[in-house]
Amino acid sequence: MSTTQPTHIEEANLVQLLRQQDKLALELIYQNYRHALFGTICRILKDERLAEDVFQECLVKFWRYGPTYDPKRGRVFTWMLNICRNAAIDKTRSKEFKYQAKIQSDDELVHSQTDNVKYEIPTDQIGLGEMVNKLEPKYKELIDLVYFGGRSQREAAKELDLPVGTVKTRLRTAIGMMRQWIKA
Amino acid sequence: MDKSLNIAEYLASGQLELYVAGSLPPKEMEEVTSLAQEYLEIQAEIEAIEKAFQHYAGVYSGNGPSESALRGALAEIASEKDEAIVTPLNTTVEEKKAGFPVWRYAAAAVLIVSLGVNLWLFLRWQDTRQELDNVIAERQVLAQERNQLQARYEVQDDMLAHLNSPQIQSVQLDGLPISPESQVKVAWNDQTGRVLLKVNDLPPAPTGKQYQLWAIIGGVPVSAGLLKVGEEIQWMDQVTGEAVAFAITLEPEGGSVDPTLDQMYVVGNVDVG
Repeated sequence: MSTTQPTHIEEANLVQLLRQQDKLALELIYQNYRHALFGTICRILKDERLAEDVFQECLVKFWRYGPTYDPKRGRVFTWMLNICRNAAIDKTRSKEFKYQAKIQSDDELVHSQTDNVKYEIPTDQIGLGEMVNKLEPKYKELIDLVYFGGRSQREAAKELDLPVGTVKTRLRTAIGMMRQWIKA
Repeated sequence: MDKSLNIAEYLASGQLELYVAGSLPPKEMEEVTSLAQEYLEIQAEIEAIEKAFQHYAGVYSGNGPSESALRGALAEIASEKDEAIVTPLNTTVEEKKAGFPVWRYAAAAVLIVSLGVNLWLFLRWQDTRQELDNVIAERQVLAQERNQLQARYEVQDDMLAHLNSPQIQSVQLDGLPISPESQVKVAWNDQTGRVLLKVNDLPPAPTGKQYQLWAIIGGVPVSAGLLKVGEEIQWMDQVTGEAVAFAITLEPEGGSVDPTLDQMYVVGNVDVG
């Protein structure tokens, strides 16, 4: 796994390439972040074909808006995550998605036990799939809202009817569990 | 001491998890960024959180996006770069001058052809209607003619049957000194009494005068009717009884009860036996 993760230096490099609108930046992103970003889009759209369209759109957006990325306002990954989330959420408002979603929901009546994981898990990630299943619903829900849903801490707290402090500690616990599983 | 304690608390607060998600208000986002630059522990923690989430999200990516997404994006970028220079030239010059008029001409041509075809069909329809009217009129004329012929045929057929009848008495009326050239024929059926007359030669009756046929029965002349002017063959009144002769006299218009004997033109005896 560590080979697919960018080092600190590589990330600085990526920022530089984005700023220069160098298409090499896209290759670097594809190499290092495709699973996380595409996974995020898939989690929102629950449709791999639509997700691929959106992912391609997002790559173009990274290149187009690269020069506007400001490192002070957050990680480059966070910036990309935000672009992907917004594009995917926009897609959920499209006619195409609504039509697909209708088919999906009919489909889900048949395969209802696969609650969250609808996708084949790549062989090198077997075990990580379990991680998603092992995560208790209250954590999963929170990750869905904050990481995949892009909610602010206040919005998440309001939606879950929890104090902001609880949201933060619960999020810390959820990520902590993921970190443990990666190490194992 | 203070610093490390503060950092440990800070790391445990959940603030960094929100930072990676991008869920903090802008001001707090910038605050964390600057703290991360200052403290390596914070920087390392952020990277660890990010890595953990990336793995987690990766679970949902299935087989991952295909490389065609990357190629598609790169192609899109390449065309986007070109578009800025090429597209305006293409659209303004070619589309306005060539593209639109061609479309217009095609539409106009279709319209003209359509009008032509419609006119042709209309004229053809007009012709056909005229022809039909002619045929109908012709048919009416033919029907009238046929009826006339039918009537004439029936009359002649009746006459022929009359002449062929075995009971017929054919009487030749010859001219008297007043008009020696005159000749009239009478065909009389002594059973039915019907009389058919044929004028072979008789001078035209003067104005105010009319020829009248007489049958002599028992020495007494009995009127058999007036001759219609201009008709060569005609039916006369029925003659019943033992007629021995037929004669024609010229009488005042409308006929007379008794014949004017000095105006007798023709006469002929019935051949008895």
